[in-house]
Amino acid sequence: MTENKKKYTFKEAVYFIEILRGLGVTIKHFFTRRKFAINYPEEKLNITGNTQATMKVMDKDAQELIDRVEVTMNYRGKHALLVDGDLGRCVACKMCETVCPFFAIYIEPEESPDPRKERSPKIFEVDLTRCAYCGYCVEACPENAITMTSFYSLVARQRPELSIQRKELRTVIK
Amino acid sequence: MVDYITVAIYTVMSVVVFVLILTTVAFLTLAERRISAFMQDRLGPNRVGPWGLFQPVADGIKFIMKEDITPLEANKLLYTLAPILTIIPAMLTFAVVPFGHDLFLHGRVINLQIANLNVGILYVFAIASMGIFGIIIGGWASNNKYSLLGGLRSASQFISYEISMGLAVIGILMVYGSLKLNDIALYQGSLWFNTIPKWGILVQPLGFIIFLVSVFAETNRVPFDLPEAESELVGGYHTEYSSMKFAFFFMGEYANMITASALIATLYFGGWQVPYLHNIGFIIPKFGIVHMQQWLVAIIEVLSFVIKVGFFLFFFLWVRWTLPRFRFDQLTALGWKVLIPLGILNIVITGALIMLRII
Repeated sequence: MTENKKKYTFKEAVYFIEILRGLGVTIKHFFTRRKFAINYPEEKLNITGNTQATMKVMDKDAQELIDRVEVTMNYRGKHALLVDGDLGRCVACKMCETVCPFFAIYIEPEESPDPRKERSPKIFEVDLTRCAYCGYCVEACPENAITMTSFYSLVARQRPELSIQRKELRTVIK
Repeated sequence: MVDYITVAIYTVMSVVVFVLILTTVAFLTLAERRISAFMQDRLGPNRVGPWGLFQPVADGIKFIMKEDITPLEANKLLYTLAPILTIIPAMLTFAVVPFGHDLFLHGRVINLQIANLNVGILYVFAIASMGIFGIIIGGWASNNKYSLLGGLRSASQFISYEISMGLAVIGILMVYGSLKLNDIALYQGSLWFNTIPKWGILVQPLGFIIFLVSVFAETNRVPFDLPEAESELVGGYHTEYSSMKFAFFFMGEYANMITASALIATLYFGGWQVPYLHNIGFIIPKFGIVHMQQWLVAIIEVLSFVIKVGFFLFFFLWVRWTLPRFRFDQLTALGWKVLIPLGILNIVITGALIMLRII
């Protein structure tokens, strides 16, 4: 114990004065608290706030998406299928289904009733319990139809409730 | 002849004080968590009821519902006895602490104190040192090496700091000349040079520091919480305890804190005294007298006592979240090499000052 004995100044050696200084620090924190914790269900983390800088607009509608559906470029939450007015963007090409490493996406195509595109998904199902939110499906999509929102509060009583159908994924822009 | 009404009054008073201590203990556990959280920029438990105020109720229910486990090789009798031996002395000590001036009701003198013993401080020392038995027995009976280590540590800690605490109190006894805590509180209302109240902290500043440090050691609080030292000894003497037995140890610790705060307030901060407040109202030198009813004076005095005790309870928590734990050799070195010599020095200085008629 003796070899690395530090030389203390008188003030440190008495220790009592240093205790008072320490008490000062703690009481300062007691009265002027900085807020780090978030009361979760009542308050929610503002995820869109920190993503503005990375918005180098991949999609022409990116800004509007941020404003309306809280889509962010670097947060990957629940999926959304984008719909331009009345026309869904998805052409049921199955790119996302193919690229998905977790087999979380299931698509059944049908002939599109709308003459502006050939195919559209009859069933578009994302199993959020399987999904690892890697975002490959968003990158693979040739139509920028599937995106990920900042919606992270995925709570359900039973597993099937987290298997999201097309209707629930539908997000209208414009 | 026994005055049954007086007996009834004291009985009611002791029950009220008992219940109040238990309630304070309950809310102190919440206060500890909340205040520690605030000091570390966290929130603390705030879910049960407004501001988390019903958290103690939830904790209590949890403690009662939990399974009561006795280790296989434990000594069952002593294992059960230990928590009881911890909590009873903690509660008993409060009996001699005065929380107000005497009341005069229809020819009766009622002390606002459960028992005005003529050996007041000696009683406190005698009962408080019994609390150690619970910890040692609990540590030994649970047949666990960590528990035993915790118990042994607390034994040596108690012996070391009991002495310095006693030496600090001798200074107080020399100045105020009485063992009765009520008298000590009463004398602290007398004035120095007709202006400054003779509070213990002003008369005995060195004694106050020694007493404060010793009391922290006696109540096993940080920075002297070596008996439980959760980072070294798992849980210390109560490692094996669960359910209500653990709760008793827990409550004993907090009840000890309340008694310790009350003692600090009584011995060094005038107890129930408010400066210049007497039986008939405020008497301010060279200014005049503000007359007051007896009951109003009593309420102010009890409030003053509660505020002082409350401050020291906060101080206990405040220190806990400021200081790191001492090493064991540092602890004993501080007790034997620093506090005891300082205590003797304090007695010598006090004696000299009394001889010179300054105090």
